[in-house]
Amino acid sequence: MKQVEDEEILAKFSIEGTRNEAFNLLISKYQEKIYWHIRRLVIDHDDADDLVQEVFIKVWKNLEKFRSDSKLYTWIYRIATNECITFLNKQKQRNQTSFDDVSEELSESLVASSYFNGDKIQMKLQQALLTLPEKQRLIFNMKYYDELKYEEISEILGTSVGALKASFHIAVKKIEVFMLNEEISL
Amino acid sequence: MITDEENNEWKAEAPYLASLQKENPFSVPAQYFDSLPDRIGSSLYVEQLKERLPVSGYTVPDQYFNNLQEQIFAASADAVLSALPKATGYQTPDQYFQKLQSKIQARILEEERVAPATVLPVTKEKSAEIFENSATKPAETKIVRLWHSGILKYASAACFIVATAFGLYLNQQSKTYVAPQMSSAEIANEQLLYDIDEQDIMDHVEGSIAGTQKNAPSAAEMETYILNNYSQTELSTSL
Repeated sequence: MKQVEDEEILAKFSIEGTRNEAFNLLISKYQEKIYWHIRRLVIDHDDADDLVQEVFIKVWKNLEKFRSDSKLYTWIYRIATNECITFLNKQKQRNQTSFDDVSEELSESLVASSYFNGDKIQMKLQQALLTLPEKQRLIFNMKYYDELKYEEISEILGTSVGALKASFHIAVKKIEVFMLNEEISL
Repeated sequence: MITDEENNEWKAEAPYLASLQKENPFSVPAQYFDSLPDRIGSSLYVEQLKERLPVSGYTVPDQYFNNLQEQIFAASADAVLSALPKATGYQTPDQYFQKLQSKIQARILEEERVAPATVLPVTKEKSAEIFENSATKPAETKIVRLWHSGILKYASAACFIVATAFGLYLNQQSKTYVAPQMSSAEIANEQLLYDIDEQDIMDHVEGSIAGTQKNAPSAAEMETYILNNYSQTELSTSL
């Protein structure tokens, strides 16, 4: 059914008269998944809002060029991931900060955010995630929260399955240590 | 199944993390996703508008933006200066400007009186006036007497004469020729020189010359020396 829907969207998009309808169907189908993928990376809602709009504008501009050798969802996911990485890099350049300083900024944004409803443990978990390198955090989010297959993640990030597995396991261990240390200190 | 295995295999390595409820701690504003498609549509429309109409149609003068910053700073500085009070804060004594003109005139007259030729351009009438003034009014120069009394004058003259005479006397003494005292041995030798015959002196001189010629090396000896001590190359380069 899902597959048919993607094909239907692509077919309608190829016809000029139904292009807008197809695009609206595409947004309705993928906006939340793409938004949460972005939001978990950039933390701030307003930043995520800007980025999700940018992603779909790029989807509109490039959907004609999309080849069906990959899934539509992974293609959109890849665009969203690249937009997030570009955004975070620009943030580093703008503030002339290193990766660690950006993580600290995101952590501060997390604490100050009015759109965070998690408890203390969830807060600690998010802070633990912010201690991970960017790509490791990406892999963890896609595996832990989105429950994507390693092959799909490989398609999105262009990294081998073996490397992804290793990266995910390292991330899990780091988070476990962080969470347990925080528990002991409490 | 494979997905389940993949999604669960890490749990053994991180039991605490595995025990946590998988929740989404983030939230969004109310009805955010309901309005998101419309907002994406609006953003897309604006983007397309920018692509279709890249130029606004308005133009600006040449170098406008290059000079703009400078103009803004100049205008703001001008505004700041205009806001300042015009008064400098300096003060002058009472009636200063009223008295100033008369002061200047008095000074000019004083300078004319002291050095008229250099202070003012002199006309014929002016020069005649100056001559008349200078003729009738002798210059008031201060006279300083050199000799306070006659005794001092005569005493100074006497000292001068004595000093001069003494100097002349000393000079005279130094110029007198004094013949050196010759020793008796030197006198005896001189006498002997007078007694020696001239021919003997000539013979003696010729003999000394011959002696020096005898001691000079022969041509053959010189040739041998040169051949023994210098190489053919050295000889050819020196020649």
